[in-house]
Amino acid sequence: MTNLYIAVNKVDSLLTYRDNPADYVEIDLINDYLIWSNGSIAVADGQDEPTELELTIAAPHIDPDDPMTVEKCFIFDDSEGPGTLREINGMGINRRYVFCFMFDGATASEPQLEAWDNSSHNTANFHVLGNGTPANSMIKGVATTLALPGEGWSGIPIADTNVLLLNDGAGALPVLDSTESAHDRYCNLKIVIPADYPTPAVEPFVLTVRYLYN
Amino acid sequence: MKPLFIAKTLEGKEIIGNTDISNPGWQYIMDDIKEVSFLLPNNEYFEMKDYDKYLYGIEVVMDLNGINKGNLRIEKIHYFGKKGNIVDEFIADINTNKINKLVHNWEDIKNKYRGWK
Repeated sequence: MTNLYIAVNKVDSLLTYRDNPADYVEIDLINDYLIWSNGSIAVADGQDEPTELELTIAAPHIDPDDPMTVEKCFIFDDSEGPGTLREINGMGINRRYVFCFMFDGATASEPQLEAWDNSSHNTANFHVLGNGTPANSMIKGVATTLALPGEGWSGIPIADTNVLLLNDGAGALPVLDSTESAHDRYCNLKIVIPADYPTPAVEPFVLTVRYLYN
Repeated sequence: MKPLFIAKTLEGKEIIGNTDISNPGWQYIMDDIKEVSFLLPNNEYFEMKDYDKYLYGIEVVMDLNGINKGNLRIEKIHYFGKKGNIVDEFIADINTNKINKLVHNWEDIKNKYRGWK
């Protein structure tokens, strides 16, 4: 089985995981988790695990006039001290090495990033996922393994069958050569809330990576 | 435990897959396949023959958050058979044992999947 490991850049998203692994948090998906927020004194890099109230205070506010990009994404890193928030470097801007997906072998299909209402992967009706219209998903993604995404990148709206191909559309991942320990594939993500969106919500959408092996 | 597949090559050689679903062994087959029986989630075999090429794939998902986060989970098993420009894809859901069939154009998916035999 080809295994998947995920890391996020917490220092300098100009550098790859292989060049600077210490710049990254390898996500322990059981204990760590992502937080999308506008940030605050309590919800900031280096702070401990925020309370629900602190997260609410730091929540993004819908802009009446312009689309609003959620300013920050944090990883709660359970392995650092008693648990520490680390801001993901380069999230949503013109940076390549932000979210890193590492596959330790070949795949039989191109790995893809998906977004769903929950872990049953059957529906994508949350407002953040486009309220049933995947093309309207507020979650935007762009594959960045080969190149920078560009200033003001718009990305692909991710929800339901609208997926982000993590190998830039180049297909399944090949057998590793003798110099490689994994295939590293990078992407950048952001959440863009449309101007004057009428329905504020707290929606715990699920991000999923899917692929075949054989 | 039954092998995940039993294939017969064009030369008549029998290739028996592994029993461990985490390492089916399909990717190591070097020969072209004439016919193959695939093990279904219900533990019965499903024979495919008279195709030009075959492909086998285990579909896994990993959630980054939610109640199943962090676990690489098998959701479906895919069995492909190519005949001319048409590809039949049979998808078995390992939870429900239901099988769905899709039909593709070869040009549309030949580079989408790896391991055609």
